[in-house]
Amino acid sequence: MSEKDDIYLDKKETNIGSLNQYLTFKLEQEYYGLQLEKAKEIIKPPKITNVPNTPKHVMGVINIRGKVTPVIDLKEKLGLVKNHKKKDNNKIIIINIDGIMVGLYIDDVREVLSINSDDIEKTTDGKQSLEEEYIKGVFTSKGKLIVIINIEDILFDNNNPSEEVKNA
Amino acid sequence: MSDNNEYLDMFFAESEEYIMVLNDNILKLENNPEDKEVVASLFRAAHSLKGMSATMRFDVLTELTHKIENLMDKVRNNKIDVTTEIIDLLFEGIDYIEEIVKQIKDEGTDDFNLEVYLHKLENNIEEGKAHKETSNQDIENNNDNFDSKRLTLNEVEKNNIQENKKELDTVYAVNAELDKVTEFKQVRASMVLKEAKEMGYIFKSDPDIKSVDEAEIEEDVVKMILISNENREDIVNNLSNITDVVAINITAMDIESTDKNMKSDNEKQKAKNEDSSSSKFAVSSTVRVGIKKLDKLMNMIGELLINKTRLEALNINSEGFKDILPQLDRVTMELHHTVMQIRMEPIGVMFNRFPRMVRDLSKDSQKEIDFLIKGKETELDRSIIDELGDPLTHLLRNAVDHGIEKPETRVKKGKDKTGKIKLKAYQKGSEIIIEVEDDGSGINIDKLTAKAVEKELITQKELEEMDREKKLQLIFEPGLSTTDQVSNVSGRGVGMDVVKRTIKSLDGDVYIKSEKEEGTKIVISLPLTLAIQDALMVKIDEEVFAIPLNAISETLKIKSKEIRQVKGNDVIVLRNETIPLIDSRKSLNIEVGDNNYTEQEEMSVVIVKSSGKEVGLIVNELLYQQEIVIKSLSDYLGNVKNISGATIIGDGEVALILDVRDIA
Amino acid sequence: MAKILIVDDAAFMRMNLKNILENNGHEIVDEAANGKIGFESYQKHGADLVTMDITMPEMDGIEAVKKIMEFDSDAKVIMCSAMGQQSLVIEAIEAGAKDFIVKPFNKKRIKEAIDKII
Repeated sequence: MSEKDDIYLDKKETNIGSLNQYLTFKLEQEYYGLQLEKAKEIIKPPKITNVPNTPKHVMGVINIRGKVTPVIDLKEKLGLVKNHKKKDNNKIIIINIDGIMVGLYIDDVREVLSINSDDIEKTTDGKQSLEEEYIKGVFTSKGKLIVIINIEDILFDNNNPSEEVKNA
Repeated sequence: MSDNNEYLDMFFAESEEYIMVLNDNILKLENNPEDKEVVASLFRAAHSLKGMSATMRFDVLTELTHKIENLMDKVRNNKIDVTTEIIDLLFEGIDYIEEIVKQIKDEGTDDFNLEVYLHKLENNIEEGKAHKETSNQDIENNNDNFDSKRLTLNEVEKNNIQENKKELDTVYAVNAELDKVTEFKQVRASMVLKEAKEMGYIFKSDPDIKSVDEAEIEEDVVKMILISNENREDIVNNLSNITDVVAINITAMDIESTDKNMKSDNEKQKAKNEDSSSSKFAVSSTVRVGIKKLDKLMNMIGELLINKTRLEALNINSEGFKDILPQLDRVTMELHHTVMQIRMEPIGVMFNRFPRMVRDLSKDSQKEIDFLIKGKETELDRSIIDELGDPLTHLLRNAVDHGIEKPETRVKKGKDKTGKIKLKAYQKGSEIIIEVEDDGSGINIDKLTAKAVEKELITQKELEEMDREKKLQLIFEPGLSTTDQVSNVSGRGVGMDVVKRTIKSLDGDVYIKSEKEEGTKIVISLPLTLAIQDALMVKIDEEVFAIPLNAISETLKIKSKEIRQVKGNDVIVLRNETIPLIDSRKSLNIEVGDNNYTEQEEMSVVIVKSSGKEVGLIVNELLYQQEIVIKSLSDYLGNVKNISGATIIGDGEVALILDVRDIA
Repeated sequence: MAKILIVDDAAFMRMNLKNILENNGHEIVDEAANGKIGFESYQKHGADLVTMDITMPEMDGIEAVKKIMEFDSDAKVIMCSAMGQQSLVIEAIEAGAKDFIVKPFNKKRIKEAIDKII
């Protein structure tokens, strides 16, 4: 994993504030966005070591500058239908929440958008495959529908992966 | 109050240690009032505490420690006998010291009302006098013709000198006046006399050189008759050079000269025997380094090791490269070992709090208990030691509370009325073992299993299939507190399950043995070093895994025809031992499919120690042995079954570390 | 500028003294927590001056002074003593210590004592 494949995210100052900046990416044919603030790095996926006895959405672990970091298959976690063809632009977004680092395996990274909270529409009949708390709402940009997700809730939804295995 | 934070931190750290030493030694003194070493240690500790408190200007604390120091001084000079009152007084004093230090930490002031205690202390010091105090008077009698300004010689003395002095010697009357505000006047006086002695012969002096430590120095002047062949100026210069000497008065005395040798005594001092049994943990004899700094250092060494391994794996074909590698290897290994050493601390430092605790607990619960500690010098990584405090406290409390019975009960059972609790630490291979053992009533297994079923932790059927060992281990399940009354000493939410969890988080294991009416023994095993281990790399399915070498008994290749069946399980017989075989893939929930190991002609087996038994783990391939840096598996994943951590291997990839302890 | 070896069983005191000495432009060549280690250090590294506490475990200051003077008769040792230890200091001076300073430390006195010896 060479440095030039990493894209460090520059947190530029805007008068709106970084909390309103969203990193958008693709999962299959759909667009998603998460708070830029939580994302630390975007990397090309290195070899992912599979970890046995973990739930399906845990793809395994990778080495990020000496730190063993888990990689989550976001599509699996969100319950989306997968087209198993390996894509060229697969990336891993490294998220840092309260000091815990997790990687999100996604299909393609798009741009950073500034979105005002007021402009995020709540969805009542959300996508059936997603839990209510996972979605903050949707936003339309240039004709595309972007699903804004709560990555914190998705990753830490009270189900510790190891707990899931116990109950499996 | 001092506003210098650096000093304050040190003050707290050091005073904690001294308080422990005090507690430890007072306990020893209680059991052995004649022990001189213990008294000396107590004196030193109080003395040091006093010094620190004075420097930090904690006046109340200084007074307290000073008085305790005085008490210990009187004890060691046999002026006071060690009685139970004295012991209790000392304990009380230590408690006050602890309270005051805590108050300083919390509130910044040592303002504390100690009047009652100090009064008690004074009284006891006065009353306890066993011997009369020797008077501090000057032993030397002054001459009759005493000139207050100068010493004089009578006729007999003059004759004596005449007959014995050398040709070139002059007899001087020398007075050295000391500064009025001199500290340690007697010491200065002795230095003056010593210096004078270097220049000649002191015929007589006031104070006398032999009793200068007890002498009163009249008007702050040291007087002497010095017979010397040095010239006057040199004498004056040499004596004036001594600190606190403000004036030298010197006159030659008139005497006829004769020849004789006069030598000053050479005092040969024999070396005393070394103080070999003093408390080794009074003060650590190394520099204090913050744990954070050590952790950082450890991490960096870990990174260095990983990169070294990766460098080696590059296999560059160059003479220079091949030459440097072994050097690099040697240096990093040494660095690693040295840092490991720095992190090690004797566990005794932490054990020291327990005797007092057990004593207090047994008094509270009216039980008689003999508490034995063995293996204080056993060394462990200090971060591990920090974590062990709570679990061990809990286990010891349990032993006192639920293990040891009341004296009457014990006698009825035909046991010794004094119960025994043993805390032992020792190294076994690359593990540290800590045992907490009592000879009490043992664990009531029936009660335990009944509760487990009641709380639905296991089913009745599962219970029937368990052997005694497994049933005992149920005690570590959460929610299984079998005390019907919560004593005010135990409880506090530190259950056995928390103990197990803490030990496991340290990469250790805990195991319980118990016999009804005979007692209980809890065995904790911990890895010697936390971060770096020797491991055997193996291939399971397509992935590389690391198995810690200390868990491996041996490795071998077996042929499928050597496999036997016992109760439907695959086993092999190795040197008359039956060892069950386990397909490692199954433990890792990896799809086996048609690829059954036993179908192969030959397979690789790693014999590991799991839950106290030996088990043969079948793997795809044995790779190589390597020192690995243990990385924890992300917090996010929590505890993953049969995986204890991860490591980074040559190509920068992650390899998982197999936890074989529960793999059976 | 002298190379000084500090021997005292209280890390606190060592630190205190170290600060004072370094402020005076001296170099602390080593620290030791008891006489035995102090002596070993002197054997290994030497020093222009040794500050020696009196009451210490393993080997006390007086013993250590004796050993150091035996090893190097030109050694310069200053005793650091607390109140009430006069006879011990005298013993130490007899054993070869050159001077003494009293705790709690007075910076001026320390400077004077050291300057005099070096």
